[in-house]
Amino acid sequence: MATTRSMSNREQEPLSDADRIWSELSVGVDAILTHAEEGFEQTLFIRLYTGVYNFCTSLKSSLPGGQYFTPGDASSTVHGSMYGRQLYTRLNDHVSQFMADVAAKSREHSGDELLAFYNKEWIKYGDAAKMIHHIFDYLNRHWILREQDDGNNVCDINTLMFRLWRNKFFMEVRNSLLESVFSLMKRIRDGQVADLNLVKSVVDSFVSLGSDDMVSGSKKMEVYDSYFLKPFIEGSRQYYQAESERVLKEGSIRNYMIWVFERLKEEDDRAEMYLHESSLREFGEALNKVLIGKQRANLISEFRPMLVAQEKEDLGRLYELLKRLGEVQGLEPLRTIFCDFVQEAGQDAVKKVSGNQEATESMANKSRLFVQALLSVHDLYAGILRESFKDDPGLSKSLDRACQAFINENAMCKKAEDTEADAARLLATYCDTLLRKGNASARAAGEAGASSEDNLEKQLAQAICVYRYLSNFDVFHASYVRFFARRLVNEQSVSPHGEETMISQLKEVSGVDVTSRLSRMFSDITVSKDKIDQFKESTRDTRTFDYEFDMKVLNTASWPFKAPETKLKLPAELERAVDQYTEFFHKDRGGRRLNWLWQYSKAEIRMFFPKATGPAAKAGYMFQVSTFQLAILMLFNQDSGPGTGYESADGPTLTFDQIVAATELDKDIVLDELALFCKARVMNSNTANKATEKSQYTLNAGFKSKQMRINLSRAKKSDQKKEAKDMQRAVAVDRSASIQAAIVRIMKARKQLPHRELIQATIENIKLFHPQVTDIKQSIDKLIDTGYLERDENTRDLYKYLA
Amino acid sequence: MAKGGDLQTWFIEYQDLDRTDGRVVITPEGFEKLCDALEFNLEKIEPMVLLWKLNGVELGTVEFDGWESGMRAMNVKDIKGLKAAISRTVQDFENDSVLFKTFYRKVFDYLRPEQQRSVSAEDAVAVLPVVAGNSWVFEKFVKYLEANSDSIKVISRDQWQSLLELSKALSPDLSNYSNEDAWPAMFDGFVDWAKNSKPEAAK
Repeated sequence: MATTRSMSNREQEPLSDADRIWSELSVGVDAILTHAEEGFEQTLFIRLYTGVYNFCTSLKSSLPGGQYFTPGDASSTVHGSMYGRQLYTRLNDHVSQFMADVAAKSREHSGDELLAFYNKEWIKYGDAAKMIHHIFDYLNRHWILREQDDGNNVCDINTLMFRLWRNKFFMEVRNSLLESVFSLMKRIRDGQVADLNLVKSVVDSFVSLGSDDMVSGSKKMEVYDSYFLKPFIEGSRQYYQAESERVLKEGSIRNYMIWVFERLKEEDDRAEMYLHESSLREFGEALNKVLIGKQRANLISEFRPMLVAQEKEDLGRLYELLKRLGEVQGLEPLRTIFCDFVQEAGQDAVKKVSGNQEATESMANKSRLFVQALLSVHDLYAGILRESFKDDPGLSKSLDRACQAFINENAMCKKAEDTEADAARLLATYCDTLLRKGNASARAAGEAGASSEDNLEKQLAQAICVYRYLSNFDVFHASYVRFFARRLVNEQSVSPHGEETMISQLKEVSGVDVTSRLSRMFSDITVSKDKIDQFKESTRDTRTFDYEFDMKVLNTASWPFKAPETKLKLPAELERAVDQYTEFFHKDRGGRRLNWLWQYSKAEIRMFFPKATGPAAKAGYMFQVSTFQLAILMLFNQDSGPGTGYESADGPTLTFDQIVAATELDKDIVLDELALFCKARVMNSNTANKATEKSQYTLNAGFKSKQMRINLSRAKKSDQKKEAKDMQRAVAVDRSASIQAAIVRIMKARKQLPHRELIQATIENIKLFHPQVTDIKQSIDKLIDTGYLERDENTRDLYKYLA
Repeated sequence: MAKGGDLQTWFIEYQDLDRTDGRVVITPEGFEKLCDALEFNLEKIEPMVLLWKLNGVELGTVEFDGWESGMRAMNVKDIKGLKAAISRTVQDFENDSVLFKTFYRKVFDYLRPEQQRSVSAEDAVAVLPVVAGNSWVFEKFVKYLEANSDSIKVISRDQWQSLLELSKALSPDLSNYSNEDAWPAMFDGFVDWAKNSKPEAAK
């Protein structure tokens, strides 16, 4: 029937079924385009959808559609293909026209109204495009798909719609449109309240317009990039160029910083809102450059004055601003300045303290003032690091580097190996003042109100903080272990808990190898306490002596003590205790040898002076004496002495030589002690109370003292100096051994190594101190000499390991 | 005086015949007599070279085995030949540094007391000028040892051997020495000292 009709229509009407169907479709399309927001009845959709289907399928035998006929169609045998392109083209033309009309209408508006108009149309159009895309679904799935498979540049309906928007509307009005957008954005920037969502929506539309590419799918953003983003960034740059010049002219650089800080925050917030996320970095960098980069030198020069005045808020702001310029441009200069500044501050603080009168009075004072000076500087700048620089890792490293420098080398600690003035030794001395009884003033320097245990813990933690920065850990430990040993044997620890805390904190920083010795020493003392109780128990009925006797058995390997350098003949009474304990010990622990360290042991004696008066006559005076002193004094006991008998009511008179012979002590020691006794008026000598090798000595019968307890056993200055020298030597020997051990380890693993690499590897391998190149060379020489290493015959600087 | 003839007979001329331990050796007295016969100056290098060539066991001491194999190796049968061979060797040192190095290293062992690893600085000072007299580095080094005789008491094998290398490597103005190079630690002190005593050094 259709055939007949069309044949009869051939002469009369060029309007074919194609045109008919199309006119229906176009009406529907227009309705959608203009009223997409109103929604449509289902029936319309079905009608339109069917129209598309019919156009594509059931027109195959009718006349080709008028001006839409192309010769190629007639020959096409593919189902629906002939009319596919026709429909496509008709739709394309129709919507193009529609868009052109919209463009014309838009020219009635300008500025914000234009934006509103554009935005409204855009939203409507988006819905319409979707609907139309669905209606023309058959076309999408057949003709279009086939064309795409053939490699032809045909896009689906949705994409076509947007392309038409872009080419027929956007491109026509783009200049005034963009002008309006930029104008609005500038006004917002200047503080005008406006609808940011409008901007966002318009900008989003640019993103959606994609690229000039015909094929959909590639989300390139050429439209957005070249028409919007680039001009926007350039505009922003110019805007802030002018603004920053204005602000700088009107006020100080500090004000400038505050202003920049605020504006950047605003821009960050806004950008996040209406820029595409891929643009944020480029935009941010442009702002940074014009607002911060241009003023970089000026800003950096403010850093130092801020540090001097400790202006934490300004410092924080400066840090955040320069951080935006990146590591190299922004933060690197700050790091250098900060490091130098903290170093100077540290050096100054120590210099000030080194001239202090108190510092010269005693090592304890010197060490305390030293450590407190260090802490004051460290804590101040650590605080700034935390509060103003948010613990920035780069600046944190700068702080560490600065501390390492000024802690180890300053007015009080020169690099020369004078270990009295070594930072490590001073720190160990300081720890001793904290942990030893009788130093209440040092500990009271903590916070008021806190318990003394808490105070102590806090101060120990501070000491550890300084400890981390030492370069000579081994010197610290050599000192610390000696102080610790003294505290333990003299029972001078103010807090066992404090001692343990210290040991575990040291372990955390330096590992267990270093601290295991300390722990063993600790346990030796505990074990000794038990043993003494056992001893007392087991000899309860058989004790051969009648005084209190306390023993500490120390493991030779762990303790820094050596056998006494002088002989000693024990007083008989003391010998009895020694013998009995030795017997007990051998029964208990077998055949290990006991070395009695008389140079460290003490005694408490009660002395009755013949001419004493008052309470001292009955009770006598209590003296704390060293064992050497005890040995000498016992000679003057009326029941003992080398048998010279009583010369007077004051007891025996003995010559120097007699005393030396009887005690078997070194002459120097005897002389020192006698001098001390004379000075203390415990004894008299017949040479104007000076002690000489030719003098004769008697007890001072009329000895008087206000105190009932007198301590004669204070450590001597000469002893201290000697101990310091011994320690220095021990450290040097240990270092040489450590270096050699490290070299052997390295060479054993590597078999052969060039000189410079061996030096480098050795330095890296040793953690407890900084080995000097000369010392390493000497160790190498030693190892060559003892046959561990050899030089390669042909390559002088190559070392080979000899197994 | 053995002319051509038995190596053994020749040996006996200088052998220490007063021994009670049965050892067949030429001892320093005999060795000196041999040097006399060769017209060798005891303060020059020739006696030391002679000892080496004869596989001496220590200073002035040569055992027969060493004598025999040494003579054979030099292809020598009489005094004249021996003198020529030694002189030739000394000349060869000029051109053959490997030869000299072997000799030089052996001298250390001759100076070294048997149980010890090192040589006394005193002995080094006495012998180094003889053995390497015309090298300015050795000369300076000997002066250094003399100036520091309180602190430097021994020379180790490595120092001895490295000294030869140093003499070849060190530039007259001492500018190419670095403490960071692989020289024995003692040389750092030597070069420092040498730099400070430069005024009279050749410019």
